[in-house]
Amino acid sequence: MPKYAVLIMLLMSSVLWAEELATASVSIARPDAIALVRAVETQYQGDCSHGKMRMLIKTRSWTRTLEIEMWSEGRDKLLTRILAPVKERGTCTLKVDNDIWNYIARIDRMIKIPSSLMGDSWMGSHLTNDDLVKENKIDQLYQLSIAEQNGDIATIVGIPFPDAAVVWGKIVYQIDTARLVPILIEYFDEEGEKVRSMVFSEVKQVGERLLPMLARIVPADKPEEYTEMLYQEIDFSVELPRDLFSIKSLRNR
Amino acid sequence: MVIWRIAWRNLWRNRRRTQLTMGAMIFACAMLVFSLGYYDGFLWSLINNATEKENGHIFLARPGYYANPVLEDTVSENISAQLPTAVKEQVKGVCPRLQAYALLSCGTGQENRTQPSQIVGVDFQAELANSKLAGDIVAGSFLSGQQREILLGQGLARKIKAELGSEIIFFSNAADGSIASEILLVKGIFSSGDNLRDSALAFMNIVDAQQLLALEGRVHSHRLFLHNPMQAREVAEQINDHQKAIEATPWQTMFPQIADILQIWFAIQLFTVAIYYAAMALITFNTMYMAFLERMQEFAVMQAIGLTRRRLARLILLESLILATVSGLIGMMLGASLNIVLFYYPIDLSRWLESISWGGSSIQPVLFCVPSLLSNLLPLLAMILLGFAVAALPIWRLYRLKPVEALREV
Repeated sequence: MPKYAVLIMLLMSSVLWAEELATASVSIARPDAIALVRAVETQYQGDCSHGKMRMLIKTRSWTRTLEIEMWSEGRDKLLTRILAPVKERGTCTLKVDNDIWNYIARIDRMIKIPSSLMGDSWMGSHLTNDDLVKENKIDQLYQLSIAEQNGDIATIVGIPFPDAAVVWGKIVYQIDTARLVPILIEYFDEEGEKVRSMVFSEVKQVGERLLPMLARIVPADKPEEYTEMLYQEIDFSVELPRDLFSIKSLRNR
Repeated sequence: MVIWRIAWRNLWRNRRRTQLTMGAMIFACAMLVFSLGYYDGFLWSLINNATEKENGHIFLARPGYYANPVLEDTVSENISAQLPTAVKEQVKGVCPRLQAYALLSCGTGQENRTQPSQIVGVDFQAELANSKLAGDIVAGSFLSGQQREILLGQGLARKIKAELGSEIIFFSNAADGSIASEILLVKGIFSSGDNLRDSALAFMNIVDAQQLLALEGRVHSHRLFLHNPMQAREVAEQINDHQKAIEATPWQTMFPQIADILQIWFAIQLFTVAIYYAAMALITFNTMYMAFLERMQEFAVMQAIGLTRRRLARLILLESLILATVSGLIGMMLGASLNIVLFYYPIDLSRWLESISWGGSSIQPVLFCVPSLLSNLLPLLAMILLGFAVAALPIWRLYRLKPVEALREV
């Protein structure tokens, strides 16, 4: 009887091992859409990160440049602080989970952004508050699938899950799977009309990863307008103070 | 003159019947005058609430701004030079406005409440002189021109838990792209009757708004208040023909539903008259016909001794017209008196009824009448026409009456 038992166990384990091999071979032949999008959306974050960026905003009527310092921890915590222009220096945005707070240095006051305003512009740019909250959770909110694989370039389509509270009706990614960097992300509304596109360029090696240092957002209905985000420095090996991502720390920044 | 006296005397031969008929006619006419006055009051309130509270009779702005308002699309603060002289004579006053969307926030820490709101910068002196904005204040007082004042809609104040004197954080983007932020103090809370509007609207001094939004010396629109609001469309056309740098939009375009009602208003009044007088016509007709039947032999005798049918017909018509005209005049005076009283002393029903938002305006729960010439004369004229109508059948019977046959029935 024990001899039979050992035999059955050996047989079962060999079957399981064979299944694992089969799954792995499939994932090598066809990269995992979720893993790719997750890698791209969290590319500027590590366990912790600290960086500086220059944001150039061009609209029909005005052009302005913001210099911004940023800190992040995981996918849920983000703090930004405006360094320039001087008039807005010290203005901070704190994101913790799904909440966003703005600290306005000029009047030394803080306001919480209500959920109804997640689709509104962030600091006058073509980014929305929702981008800050949900950009790192695309893989949780959208059903992702690879629509096309052309050499190293994969086109991934994201359709929101039926119960997901999201702004976009569809997101289409073009990702360089060899270098694991995004090339283009296009955002569509519920009617399938393109709303904006985000183009990435100037890929550089930062630590162990390749990062596009320039991202340019262009609204589809106003092609003459754009927001450019140029990363000047980014460091993934920093240790951040424990209370950095708290409302109290906003005033002290 | 004799025929008038005979007609009058004939009417009172059956005193009770004539009194009852006249009573019914007077009541119908008085109620009709009152109803038309009330309808006019309703329409008047609808137009006033839509125009004089906030929007003015003509919206003057940069071409395209009315349809698609953009923060940067402004016009000069001084509009007077751009208006043709003929238009200036018709303008009672001008209110400049600056408007933007901003986050208004109140409270600190976890008690912080933020709401997106429409902010309207107003010149408080121009508003006091022309618009009725100040009349909507339910707590505190209207803007006085001091720095950092803000008026909140009642619904908005409730949402962000603000009270009089509360500190309100203003957060928006200025026209140059910079962040516009300021701490404002609640000077007053208003209620326009339109709850949806009041839950997302705030007013502040235009000078503060211009500074905050980096739009010094500029405004988004001028609201023209006219001596005669019904001339708005014509005045707007004159401005648009004369000046291409600005676009004039009359209130009829801003509130098409109200303008549509105005177009069919006369038809509505006629329809009301028809409904009110339909039953009345039958009662009066009955009175006149009964009076004819009773006097059939009398008419036969009169014809036999040589009185022409034409003169007898005139007598019947005169009786009918006297009955209708006297009733109409008394009814009109009663109805008009009621309208005048309710024009000067409207009855507030807000304790029992709530206001209703409609067509960009609001319908207030107030019993209010406007005694217009048309609403007074239309029922009287209709009553006189009724007099002609109800005399038609007896006259027709009179012309078919054969004196011999009529006398044989005695």
